[in-house]
Amino acid sequence: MSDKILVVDDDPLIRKMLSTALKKSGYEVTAVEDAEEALRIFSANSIDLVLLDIVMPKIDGLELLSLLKKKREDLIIIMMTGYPKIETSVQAIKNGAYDYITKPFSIDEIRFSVRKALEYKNTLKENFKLKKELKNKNNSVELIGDSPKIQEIFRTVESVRDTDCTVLIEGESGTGK
Amino acid sequence: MLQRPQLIAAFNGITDLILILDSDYNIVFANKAFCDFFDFENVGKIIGRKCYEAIQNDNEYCIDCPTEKTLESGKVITVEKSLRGEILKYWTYPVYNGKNTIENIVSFSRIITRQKRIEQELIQSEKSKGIGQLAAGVAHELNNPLCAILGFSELLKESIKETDANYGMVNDIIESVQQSKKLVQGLLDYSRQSVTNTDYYSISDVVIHAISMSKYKLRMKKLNIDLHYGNDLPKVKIDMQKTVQAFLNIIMNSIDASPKEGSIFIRADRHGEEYVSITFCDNGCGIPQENISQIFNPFFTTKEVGQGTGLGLSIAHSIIEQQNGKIRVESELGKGSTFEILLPVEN
Repeated sequence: MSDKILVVDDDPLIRKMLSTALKKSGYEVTAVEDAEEALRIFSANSIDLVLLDIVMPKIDGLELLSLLKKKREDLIIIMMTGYPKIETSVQAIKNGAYDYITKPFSIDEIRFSVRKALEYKNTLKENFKLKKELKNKNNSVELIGDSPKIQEIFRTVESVRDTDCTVLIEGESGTGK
Repeated sequence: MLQRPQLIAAFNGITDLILILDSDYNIVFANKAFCDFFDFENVGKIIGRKCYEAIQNDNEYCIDCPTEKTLESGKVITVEKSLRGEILKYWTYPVYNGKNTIENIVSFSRIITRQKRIEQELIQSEKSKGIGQLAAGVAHELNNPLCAILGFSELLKESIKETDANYGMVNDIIESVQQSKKLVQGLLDYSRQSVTNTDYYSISDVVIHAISMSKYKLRMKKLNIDLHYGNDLPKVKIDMQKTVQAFLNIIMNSIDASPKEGSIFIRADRHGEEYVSITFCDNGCGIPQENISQIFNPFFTTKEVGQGTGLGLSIAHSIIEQQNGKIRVESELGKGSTFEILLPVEN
């Protein structure tokens, strides 16, 4: 499944350019023009990464950055600006932005930054998953047994424990279901 | 009534230059300040001589002579003149006799070099402030469309083959955008030379830094740098990065002006109690007099199109000004230019 990117920029040409460039790289892209729209889309979809312009009317990029971060702390956000200032870049990173890109950027630049950010995100996710698995391994199931049959059961339990699926356990009565 | 010796003493007490001529340009009187300025031992050496002969060593009165105008019009005339490295402001007053004809001309002049310089600095700084604000606005508004042009042309490039007839044109667009991007960046640099990061640094560190950044260009032209630091140079409170940038821009300018295998002289000295002075002297082509007042203006360049943005010296100027320093230039066509920077020790 391809990663979902949300582009927020008040300039329609920039939205169109970024959508085209990123769709060509295989991402799923939604582009919106202001913070309100961005928040609406964000709540209704699972967004993996946000490209966010800093200078926007009404709610500006830095503010939206904080709002989005409040909603999901591990969200990856890349800030874009046509008016680079040291203070805003520092503020953006402090507020939790992953990267800060100045316009005009080349599409290679933006693609590279997006790819790097998503790789980082996936590494984090995997790391989290592996840690959890390891933890589960250590204080494994409170069942003791060596027989191939019970080992198979342990493996089955391990593979289904993280899912929300309902599991049906079958067996004769008195076998210890 | 004052007696003649008292009157002469009074005139000599005045530190502005006073010269009295008859209507035929003969010197009737000159005060001490006048004699001192033109290196005349005493007034006796010039009384009775024609003013233009005594002062300019000429046998006819000067073009635009204010005395001539006053004689003709009977009015007070004011002019500014450069003489002996100073700027003088002249007033010529007609003195009438009883028959209503002009008998004498009193020429009063004051050295206004310092005021003039401060005035120019003020104008320059006001000008750069205005241009800075404009530049920031323009730069900001340009970055968005530039970003779109760059992105779309790169996408276009991706979608056509190298053999396509239009491939070259797309590349040209991309290159032009890159050029514009550089220019806008320069504008932004110019508009906000806000000094944020100040600390005490030794001037030699700044100079060495700037030189090391221009090594490549120096090598290309086989130029030699002659460095000299005065004794007891105090550390100065500056923004290191910005100051290096200012020095670098001036060095780059000197390099471009210098002939191959020439030398650039850099001197750092104490300048009174309050300042450290750094001079950059080249023996290059020099700056024509009519350009001197413009070289710190953004976009002023004498380099060929595409060679320079005309922002280097204006950026240097604004960096030095921001740090309460001063920058000035002296130049002689064909002989070279000297840029002098004064930086306050305490900021």
